[in-house]
Amino acid sequence: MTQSLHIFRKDVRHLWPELSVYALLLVAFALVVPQAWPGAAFSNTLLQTFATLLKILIPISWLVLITRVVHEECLVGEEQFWITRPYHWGSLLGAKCIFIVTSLILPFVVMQWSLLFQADINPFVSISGMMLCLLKFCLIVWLPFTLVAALTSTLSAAFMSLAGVAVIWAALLTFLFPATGTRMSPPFVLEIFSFTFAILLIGTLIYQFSTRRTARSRIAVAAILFLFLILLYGFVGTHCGTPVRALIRNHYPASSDQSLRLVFVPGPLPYEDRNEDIQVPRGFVEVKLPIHLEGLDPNYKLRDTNTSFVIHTPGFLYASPWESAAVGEGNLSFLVPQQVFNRTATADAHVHLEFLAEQLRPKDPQIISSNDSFSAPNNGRCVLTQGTPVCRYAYQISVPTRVKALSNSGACGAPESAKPTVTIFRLVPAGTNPDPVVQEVLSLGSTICAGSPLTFSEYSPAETFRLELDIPSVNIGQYKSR
Amino acid sequence: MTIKPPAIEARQLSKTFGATQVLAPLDLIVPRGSILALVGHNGAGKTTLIKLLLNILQPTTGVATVLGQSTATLTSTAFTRIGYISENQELPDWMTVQSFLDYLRPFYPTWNETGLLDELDLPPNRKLKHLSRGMRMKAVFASVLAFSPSVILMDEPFSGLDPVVRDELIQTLLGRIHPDDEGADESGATILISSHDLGEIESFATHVAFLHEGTLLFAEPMNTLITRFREVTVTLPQSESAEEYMTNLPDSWLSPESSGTVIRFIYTKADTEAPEIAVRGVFQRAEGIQSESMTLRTIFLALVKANRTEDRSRA
Repeated sequence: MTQSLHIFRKDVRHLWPELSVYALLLVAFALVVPQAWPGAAFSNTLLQTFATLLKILIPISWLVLITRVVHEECLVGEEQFWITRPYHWGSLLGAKCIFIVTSLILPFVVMQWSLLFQADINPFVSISGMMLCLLKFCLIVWLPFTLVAALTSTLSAAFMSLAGVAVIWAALLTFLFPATGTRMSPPFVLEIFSFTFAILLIGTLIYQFSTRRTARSRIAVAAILFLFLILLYGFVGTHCGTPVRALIRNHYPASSDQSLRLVFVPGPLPYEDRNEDIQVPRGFVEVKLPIHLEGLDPNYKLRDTNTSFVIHTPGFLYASPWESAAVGEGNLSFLVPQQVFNRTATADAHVHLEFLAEQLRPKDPQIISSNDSFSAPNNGRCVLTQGTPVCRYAYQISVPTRVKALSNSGACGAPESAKPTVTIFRLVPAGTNPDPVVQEVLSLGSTICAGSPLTFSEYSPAETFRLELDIPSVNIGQYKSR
Repeated sequence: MTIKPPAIEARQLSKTFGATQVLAPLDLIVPRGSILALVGHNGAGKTTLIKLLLNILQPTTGVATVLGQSTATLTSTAFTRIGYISENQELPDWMTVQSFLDYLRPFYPTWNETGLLDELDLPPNRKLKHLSRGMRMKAVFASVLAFSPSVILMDEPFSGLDPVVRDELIQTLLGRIHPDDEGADESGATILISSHDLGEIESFATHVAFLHEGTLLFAEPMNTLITRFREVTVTLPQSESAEEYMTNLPDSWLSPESSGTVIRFIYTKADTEAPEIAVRGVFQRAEGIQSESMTLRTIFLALVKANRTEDRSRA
């Protein structure tokens, strides 16, 4: 520890100019971003552009700082003075971690808290959100940056390596996995992927620090990326689908509620219902079948709606992976590969379909009087900006919330309309945005005045379920979305 | 009483990069307290050998120990007793000389820099990046001598330095190497030094190792080497041509040259057999046989030349 602190002090002494620039960036971010928030008094395009620029500059400054501090005792090469000095690799790694935590993460957290205070949100009520946010930054940004720095000898090499990996990655995702976005995320996939790859990356980092076998470490990183790709390919192409499917079936058990079921109603869909509900990637078509979900409590909502289906025509069989499905009024839509559609469109097909989702149950509503600034459930803070409430949350809006209001048809003071307006909050997870304030503009369609009551109804997860439906005979071609 | 292992020992140590063998399997023992001059032309494998001994590179075959510890397991603690000086070392250039020493001090339990800066005439407040090559090397020497290492490995430390700086460094080095810290013998620190400055090295090296094209040709005490090698000049009678003898000389007589009635060559076994007797056996009618001692530099040049000739004829 003593050696770590000694090295850390040296690093701070040397990198103070870079640290000063970083501090300035954070201060600028903390001052500018609130001005670019929806409803801010001085919000304008220039400020928003500047805020966006700062959002780009902060990760770049991370890369510079992390690379510079790791390269202080460069692990690549044979002529660095420190490699024949009594450095203990653990102390060296510890020193770099101390630097990253105290000089990079801590100021960043302070900046985030400053933004939360400016949004009138108490940061202490969302410590878990902050930890989740920092964990994501750690896994997605800081850990990879540190590893890249440990495997390169110059700042430009680190930049080029990252850029190269990013370009190759984007190209692979674009060309090899065109419809990845519509695939279902199996239960715990994020946790399993995060844990596995964090362990592998940390292991490689420790190996590099302890042995300085750069060539082997680089091969290890390439192998990890390749493994990631293989798993992704397996997941997307369902080549290793059996265990994943078993996990999904286990997590989404067949519904025990007899009244909850899927019903296929033969016949054409009304013309107005045949618009596309899903953004269709190239090589796919959206099929919208007249399937009704019956037995669901009308007050309940569904989320994570997914389907997997088997299309069987004479001489042809297609089994889809689990993928997103859109549940409409009397229809269920999903994507089918263009080639599959072409082969089955004109034939009489036998379709076996599985559908799964999570039910969300409404909690007791809370009525809150709107004001210039007022508290919202779930530790939110809302402001009334020109008749539109803008609600702000720390790091995440953890649950979907339904908001009802009595709207004013004209200016405030006019008689209130009898018809309530309704809006639903989206679920916004804590992400990797430097700005921890999650904003939700409640577009209620008309003016909300100070003193108007707003009814917030939060939804909580009820249960997960899976339904099956067998359609002995259907002509898929009839149900292509427009 | 326990017998201490040699300061440096290598057994069948070799290094290959891809298909290129830069160091053929070699055995080397450097006794404690000795100063071994590692000589060889550029690309002979000197730097590779030093890096293998410091665990900067990993051997392809063989093992080595430094102060009895396997080089494969050299850890931070070992480097409190092992110093490394190289002409190519990358230093924290942003530091001043004094801050560099201040930074290193807590790493070493035996640190003592008293008088070093004065002795080496180093400006304490000047940044390393602003130092001349000689000053920079002095700073490296200071940073190593300050912790009184038991073994110092030096890779071309005098390369490109003027004679004054070279002399200063050698004097400081010799003046600062202390007896072995375990006190079991009276010898000072062990030094392995690779250098092209053979004239300078000869003045203080106790042992010599010669590397040629990655092969260790010999490693022996300096006085044995100097005794072993003699430059012999044979003068034949006017009636005989020296050229006639050139093809029948023993292999151990290196770099033979003839001019008229005079033959010159390097005699390499003077330690076991007096050159005059051996030479007289070949040149029975020689009118004069002169045998002169050689310097390390002339021995080195003769060996390089002889080996190149041998390589060419083998090719």
